[in-house]
Amino acid sequence: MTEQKRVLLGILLATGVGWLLLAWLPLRKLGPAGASADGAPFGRAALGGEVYAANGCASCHTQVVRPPNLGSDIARGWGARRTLPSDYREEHVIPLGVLRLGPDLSDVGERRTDPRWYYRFLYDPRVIYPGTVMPSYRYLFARVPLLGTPLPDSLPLSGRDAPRPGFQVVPGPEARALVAYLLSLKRVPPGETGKTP
Amino acid sequence: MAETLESKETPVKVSSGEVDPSLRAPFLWLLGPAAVWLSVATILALLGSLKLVDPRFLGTWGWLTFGRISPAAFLSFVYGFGIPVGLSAALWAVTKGGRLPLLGRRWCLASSFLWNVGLWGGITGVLAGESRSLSWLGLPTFSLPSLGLGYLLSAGWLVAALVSRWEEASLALRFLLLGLVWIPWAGGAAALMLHDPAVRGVAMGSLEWWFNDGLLYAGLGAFALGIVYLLAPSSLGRPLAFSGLGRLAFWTWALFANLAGTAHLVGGPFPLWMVSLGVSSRFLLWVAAVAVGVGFWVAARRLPAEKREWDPSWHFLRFGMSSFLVAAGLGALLVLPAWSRYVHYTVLEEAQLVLFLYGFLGMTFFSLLYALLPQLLGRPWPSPTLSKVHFWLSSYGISFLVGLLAVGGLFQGVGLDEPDLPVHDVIVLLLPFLRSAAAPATALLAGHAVFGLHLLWLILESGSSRRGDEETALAHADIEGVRTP
Amino acid sequence: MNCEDQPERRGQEISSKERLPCFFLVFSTVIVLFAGGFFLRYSGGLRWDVYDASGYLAGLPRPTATSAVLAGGPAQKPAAVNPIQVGQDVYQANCAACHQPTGQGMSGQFPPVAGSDWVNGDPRVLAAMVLGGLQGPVRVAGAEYNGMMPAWKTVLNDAKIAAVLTFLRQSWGNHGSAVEEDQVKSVRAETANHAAPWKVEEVETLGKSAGKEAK
Ligand code: HEC
Repeated sequence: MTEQKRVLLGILLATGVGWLLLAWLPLRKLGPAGASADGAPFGRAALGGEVYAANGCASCHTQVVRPPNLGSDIARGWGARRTLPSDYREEHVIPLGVLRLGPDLSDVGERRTDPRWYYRFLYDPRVIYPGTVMPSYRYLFARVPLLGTPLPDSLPLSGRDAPRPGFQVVPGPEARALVAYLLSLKRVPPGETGKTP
Repeated sequence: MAETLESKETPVKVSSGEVDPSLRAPFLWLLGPAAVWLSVATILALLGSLKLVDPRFLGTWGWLTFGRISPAAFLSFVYGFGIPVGLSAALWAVTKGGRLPLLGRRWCLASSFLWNVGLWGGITGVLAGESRSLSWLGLPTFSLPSLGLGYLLSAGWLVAALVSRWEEASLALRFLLLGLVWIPWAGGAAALMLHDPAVRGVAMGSLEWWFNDGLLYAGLGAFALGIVYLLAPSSLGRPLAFSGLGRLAFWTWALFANLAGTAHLVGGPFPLWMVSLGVSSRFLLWVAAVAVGVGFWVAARRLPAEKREWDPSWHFLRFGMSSFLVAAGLGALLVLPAWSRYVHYTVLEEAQLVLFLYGFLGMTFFSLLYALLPQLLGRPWPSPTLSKVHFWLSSYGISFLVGLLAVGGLFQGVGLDEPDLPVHDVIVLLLPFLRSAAAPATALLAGHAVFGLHLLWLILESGSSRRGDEETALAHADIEGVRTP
Repeated sequence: MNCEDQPERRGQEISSKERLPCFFLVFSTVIVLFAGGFFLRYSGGLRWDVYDASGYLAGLPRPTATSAVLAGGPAQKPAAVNPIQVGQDVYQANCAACHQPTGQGMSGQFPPVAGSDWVNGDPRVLAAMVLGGLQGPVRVAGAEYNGMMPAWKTVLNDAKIAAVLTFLRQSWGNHGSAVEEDQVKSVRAETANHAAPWKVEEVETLGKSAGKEAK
């Protein structure tokens, strides 16, 4: 075999080793191979995962709770134990994240349980955290005419955010899906530990 | 088919500086759009950092939300600028500085067309919210066929030519081959797996990071190292020292770049051995990097005096190599679990990425462009001042950007480790650094704009005067002489 | 500074007259050994179900946390901050989305907390409402509301609830007494079995019965 062929073969093999160890084996060993076929997120929450990915929430938020010797994630109340592969077993969107400009969200559905809070927050985070860097996601909401009483899920907006008189703001389908996803983020199964922060 | 080749040690004196005219088009088709993508990437990056100055800036427009433009900026830098320049380095190498024909060069045009169409679609898709947030795999599905086909159309010919015109022991060719082959192999495997509905769970995470680090180290990093070896004879006056060590470094690089990605997953939902494998691989990559660096500096010690004055190619190359060594060292040291609790998920890691992307890859690629374009167009760069301005703006921009992010990242990391300090206060600590980072980002953009203008000037000048003063250009090219490694 | 001896694994290839710098040999040996040793030490037996290691290089638990545990006791808590300030932060982060930063609520949707008799009244009733949530019709400041407030008992601990209640009762012209952490704790214990959100009638009786018991 000539040198160039050896080099080419070596490169292909080296890449194959990486693929084997970091893609194929983990898929066999940590993936959905087990019996739990019913655990996959579905409906709105699954769509919401895609909204989460598409809007790049993962560029500021992680979804990994590290063990106590690798960070104070647990002490901060971001989860009761470290994240395990089984927490992600059935999911298609794995937003582990790269940067923490905001809190970890792997367990946010336990901390914040009210969809209206999420809507208000996503519409204008600065009302809730003045001066925060979290961007506003008001393009996920719709402004509709106000006929009679406000719709049950119209946003409680006042001051700077208030819509023009005669209008109200309601979450659009993407915002609903996103919030359903966030509410479903309870990666530590209930009963695994008490979790009052 | 073995061609008779001069020994690696004796640089070939170019008999005629003229590039085979049939190769002009492939080069320009690769490099022209690359320059456009470079500016797109920088503008997006600058917008991203302005959004951290004030999140309300252009805030109501979903297309420009922070979470979309920051990946779009990285993606357009890597896929729009990095890969085409890497391909042109390979083209330069296999045609021996443009003097040998390339069989499939017509396909290069189609390839460039497909690639750029795919990428425009892809980046638009990311901005429109079609991405799946998979870092370097984040381009939307519909753009992948076009990108893949585009890549294969040119890389296929290049690999074939590279293998048939192989030079014993040429490290440049090895690294270029690694880049050429790794990207379609891994990219194809990753894309296929990610679109298989049976693939679920954390394996997608390790797959993503295999590809991320692989693309940076074994894909683009290999291209850039290939460029270093390729340019050394003309830029340093001699090839890099210690070629045996270089070969060892090459194999270390080819193997461990594939395993390093999991280092990022420390603390994540992965078995311990995967993370430790990644950490150890990062250290071995550092050794390989220093091995290349030693060869570089030993060779550079004997630099001919006129290079020390002002030679853009050499200056960019030197900055690139320094960044490379620092980035590789940081890449190893930062992932040690012992202090990853203070540095993981902070902008300090982003500082390392910026140093690698803009400092090493970007600057090395510019070094190639400064060496290649004058020979391609048969004219010297019109203004040394502009290239100096470009160099100083970029090098200061990158240094300050990296410095600010690194120091800010330390504050952020120590703050996040303090469980009683609310996240909000941590970010308030960090914000001054993020905000002032907009200034170096602007300098970087200005540097790239200067380069773009300079390039335009060069192209216009060469176009208008090609008929007239071929003589002078030839004379100059003789001095600059391409020397193949 | 050059080394005379070269390890044979890379020795034969060096064609130029340069010698490998000594520092590189030392550096590469040290790092290669370190990388190998690190992997061997922290390979977790190559098992798929071992995730964590502990050790100097694998990360040690936070020292301050252990020392605090050793020293023990509430004395270790950070110096008391102004409860109103804490309460304001809690309010801003959790309640302002509906009750608005001004405490005025939204007419027809969310009742005001400024000038509300519920807020200024019995702290135990107020604490129970916040802990367990509230559902159904309620009359506040002369207007009727029919909505649902989620429970906060899993979200906020006693100290935070006490702080936010104190903040509510002493802001925007409210003049209630401060609420202590112990009061919240006892209400939490008392209502522990009550899973669903309160109805107004239920929560009112709680206040009365508790009041009677106290007498
Ligand atoms: C520019 C960075 C950034 C982006 C992008 C971002 N966030 Fe945030 N987010 C933050 C910050 C910072 C905070 C914390 C607020 C503070 O304390 O200032 C936060 C807080 C939150 C919280 C509250 C968590 C808690 O425990 O209180 C939620 C929920 C949230 N973000 C969801 C999202 C979602 C969903 C997206 C994507 C649509 C998103 N964020 C995108 C920065 C960001």
